Amino acid sequence: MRSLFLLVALMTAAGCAGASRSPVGETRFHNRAPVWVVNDRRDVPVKPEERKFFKALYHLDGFWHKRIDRALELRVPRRAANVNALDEVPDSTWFTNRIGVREMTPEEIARGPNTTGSPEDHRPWTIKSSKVGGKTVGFIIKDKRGVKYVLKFDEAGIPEVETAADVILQRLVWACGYNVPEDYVVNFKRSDLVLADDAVIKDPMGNEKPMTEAFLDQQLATINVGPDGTIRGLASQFIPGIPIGGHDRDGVRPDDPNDKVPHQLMRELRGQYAIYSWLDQSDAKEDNSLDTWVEDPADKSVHYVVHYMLDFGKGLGAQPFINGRRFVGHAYLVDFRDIGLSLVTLGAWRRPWEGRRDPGLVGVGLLDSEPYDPARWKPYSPSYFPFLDADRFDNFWGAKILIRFTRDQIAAAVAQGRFSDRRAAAYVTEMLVERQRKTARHWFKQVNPLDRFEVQAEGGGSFTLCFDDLAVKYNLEDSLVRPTSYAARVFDHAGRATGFVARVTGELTGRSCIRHLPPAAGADAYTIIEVRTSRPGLAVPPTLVHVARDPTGAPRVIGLRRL
Amino acid sequence: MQLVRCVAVALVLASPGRASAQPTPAPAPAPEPAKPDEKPAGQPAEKPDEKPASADTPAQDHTAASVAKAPEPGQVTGVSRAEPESYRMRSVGRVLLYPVRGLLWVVDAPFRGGAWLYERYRLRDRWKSIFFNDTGTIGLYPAALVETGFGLNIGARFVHRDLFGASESLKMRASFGGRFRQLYSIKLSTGDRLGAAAALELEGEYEVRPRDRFYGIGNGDEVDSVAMPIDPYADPTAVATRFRQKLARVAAIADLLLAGPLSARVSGALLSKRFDGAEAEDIPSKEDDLPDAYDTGSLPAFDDGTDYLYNELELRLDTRDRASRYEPQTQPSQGLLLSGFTGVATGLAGAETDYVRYGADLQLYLHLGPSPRVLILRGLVEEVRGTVDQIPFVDLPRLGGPLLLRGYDQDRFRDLAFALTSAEYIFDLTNLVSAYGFVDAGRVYPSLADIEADDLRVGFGGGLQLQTDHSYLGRASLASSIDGGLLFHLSFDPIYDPKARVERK
Repeated sequence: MRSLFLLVALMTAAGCAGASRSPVGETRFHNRAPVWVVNDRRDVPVKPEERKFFKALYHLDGFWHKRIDRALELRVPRRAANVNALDEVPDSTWFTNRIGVREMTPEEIARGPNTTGSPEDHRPWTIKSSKVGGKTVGFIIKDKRGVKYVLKFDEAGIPEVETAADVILQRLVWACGYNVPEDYVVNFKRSDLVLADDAVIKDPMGNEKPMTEAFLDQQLATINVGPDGTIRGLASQFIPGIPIGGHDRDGVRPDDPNDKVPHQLMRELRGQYAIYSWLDQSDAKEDNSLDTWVEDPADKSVHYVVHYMLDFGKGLGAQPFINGRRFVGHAYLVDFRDIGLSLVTLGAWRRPWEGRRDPGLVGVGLLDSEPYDPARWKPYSPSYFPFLDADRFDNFWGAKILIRFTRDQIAAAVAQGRFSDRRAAAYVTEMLVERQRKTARHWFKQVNPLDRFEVQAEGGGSFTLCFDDLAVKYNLEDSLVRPTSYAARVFDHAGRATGFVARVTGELTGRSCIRHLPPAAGADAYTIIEVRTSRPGLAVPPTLVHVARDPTGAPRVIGLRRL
Repeated sequence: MQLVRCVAVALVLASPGRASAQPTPAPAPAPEPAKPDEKPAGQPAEKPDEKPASADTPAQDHTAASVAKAPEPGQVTGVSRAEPESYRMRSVGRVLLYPVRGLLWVVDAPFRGGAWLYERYRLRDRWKSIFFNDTGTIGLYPAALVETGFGLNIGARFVHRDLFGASESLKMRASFGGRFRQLYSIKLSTGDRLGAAAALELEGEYEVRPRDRFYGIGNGDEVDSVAMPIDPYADPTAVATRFRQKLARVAAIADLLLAGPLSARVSGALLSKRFDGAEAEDIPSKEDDLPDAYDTGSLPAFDDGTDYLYNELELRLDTRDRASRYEPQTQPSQGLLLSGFTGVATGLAGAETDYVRYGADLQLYLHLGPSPRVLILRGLVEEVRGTVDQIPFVDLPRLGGPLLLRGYDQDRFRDLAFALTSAEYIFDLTNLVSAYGFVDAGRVYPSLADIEADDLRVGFGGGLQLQTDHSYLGRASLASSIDGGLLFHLSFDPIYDPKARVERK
């Protein structure tokens, strides 16, 4: 009887222990340095099959079928699956950490990925064929050096808008970390275009027929030509490698063994939502990406797939301006919610985008900041599923990247748009800065905005934990008006509180430290510090910083769990 | 409560065959093997939070060799133990929803398959390559149309959009079924040949319309049948009947831009019309053949047909436009249309046709809000004047149908004159779809001098309008009236285009 009672008591205690949950959860990290690069460059000897993009089916699925099917699947909301221990994205064939990881001068951002030099400096150009796909005029050309480009143009009657938007976003998206083609705004004359002897007109079904001067003149008659005969275009250099189509919005490419993480779980694709909303790049879809099967630059016997983003000409308000659709950026093309509200209210409901006005500047689309809502921004179509699956942590990551751009860096990218009206460049820069701050301010209120955690040993075994408060660091919060304090609690590996608590007032610089933190007992002195931010208007869960001793005995951050 | 929970958990823990009181973790990405202090392959000497020290590291600057010892994607989280997750309720939900998902896939399969086929085989481009020339200016292609109340109409069309280099066009058509047992037409337009201020059209047409509607003459209420044929001019009783019409027409139409929004249309047509009762197969149940309900001898031109010349002059003041570039071109949201016309019909080859027709149409577009929201007010009158037996019954002004006096059947009311007012509120749901609601009120009269508000016919309803930025596609509406009934209309004619009397309706 006594034994039975003891057994029941022990099991009850065990049950109680299991029933009460530690505030630091169950997640634990390996005691090792975070990973900053992954190996997705293993040899893929057989070229993966080219993915065909079927636009109608893609959008039918995006607007209706797969969207409903995904909802009926009762999918578990999952955090991004390819982040490292610090909730960051390692370098890969998809993404390379750039701005914020190292200093980038405005000149470097102005140059972007463009290393081969503009074709404008290497005329005349030889036209090889017409462009296939898309609704607008375009050609495949080679410059005098033999470098190959797609040459595209602005919509007739709407000069500079698309070409400027493309190169500006190309520079900024590259600086964020994505792979993009080399794009250039070019100015040229009709006489700079020479038909190749074998130049052909290609139709969407692959048929070809010889291109004539008359055809070329007929095509050029439909685009903007300046009074002096100058033609403005966008030259986009062919991406190295063999193109195999864009990346799927769901799942992996089955014949690419390096494609391990389902795309809808990739941080760099989900976090793009915040970045694209900042840039108003509303045209997010599969065929605005491109995978290429490339030779390894050091070993030509090795091949793998590299992933690019491209076609940015609809950003910066170009799409709503060109298509005369003010809702772009605020509602989908077919937005069932908005349709329902309009129908129920018989049109009386005033939609948030109805007051939008374009600035009336040559080269600038419907780009604004006041009606812009980073929480409610919508691309043109809901078809790109990583955006639907993006959570606040993904967007916090994206916001961390975009807020790093200084005004000078943004202006340097904008200058590549080569606006004929100087006011246009100033306006676009100002709008980008305002949207940048609005975007960051929003996402920094959805997740504890602390970052760049570092620990330093103190004498006697304790350590100091320092971190940036991004909202303060980037002057998104006035610390004098909204004083900030940070509270820390310390837990051991088992999740038990050690009893140590601390509260510090935030520094006006945005970088604050909590000192004299005692390491927890146990292997490697594995310690979990819960850091909570208190500020008027901020109500977010704390961040858990996992610290352990490295092989030299020094404390280091081995993991970050944002709640 | 906490104690009860603890005891419950303890008992569960003690249950045989149960590994843990915690929910079974879902198959999340597995944490890496737990080896403390193991250096990830390829990492340099460890320093806290060290990042690769490369300067500019575009993707192409990483090589296969430089990352060879790095872990695979998805194996970098550093997590040795993840949060437990429980998906039991979701699993139950998923099983319950499988049938719904299956139904969704089945229902959507034709649409998805169609969309895939359309793109995979580039059906639109193939259509053009099969039926049109390389420049898309010449085409010979099949066409089909479904008209509510009339059925399927199929045929072929030939078009040449640039005959002589100034967008002159030639269109030919042959079709069968639906409203038309047979239809043959040819149309020649001058395009831009005469400049922006003028355009000329010549057209010829032959139609066999096997099931046109006739409800008598006047504002009478509808009855199921009559005991014997009645004189429609003496008795306004309305019976739903059908009749057959053969129509041949050659017309010339000149559109002239006079000044700014003021334009004129001068037209003339040679018309030949022959009538007969409908075939039994063309008469819906609950409707009659016209000769069974009405005395055809009292219907001018029914028994002998008619051949005549009709000339008309119309003046239009049209300031309708969209309020901003952000509204669709196909939906005016401000301005007005004021149109007045007068025409003369003169019999040929001994036909007794002889009358004058005149009328006016006033449309006001009131911009209530952006996108747009528009209130359209309309007033329309029309009259024919002449000796009654010299006015072919088919030429009497008519009300009823998807364009005029909605909520009533096509051609429900006809007499020597009509007056119609309409109010419609239209607002956009998306740039492709607008919703609208309307009230139409009107009546036919023996003459405009007899206009009064008594016994007005009132139709009302609403629907959806489809458009692109540049093209009006059509309307689907549900309409009813104070006389009851519910009509579904699908129409492809722009409702507010000025009514064409010379061209085919």
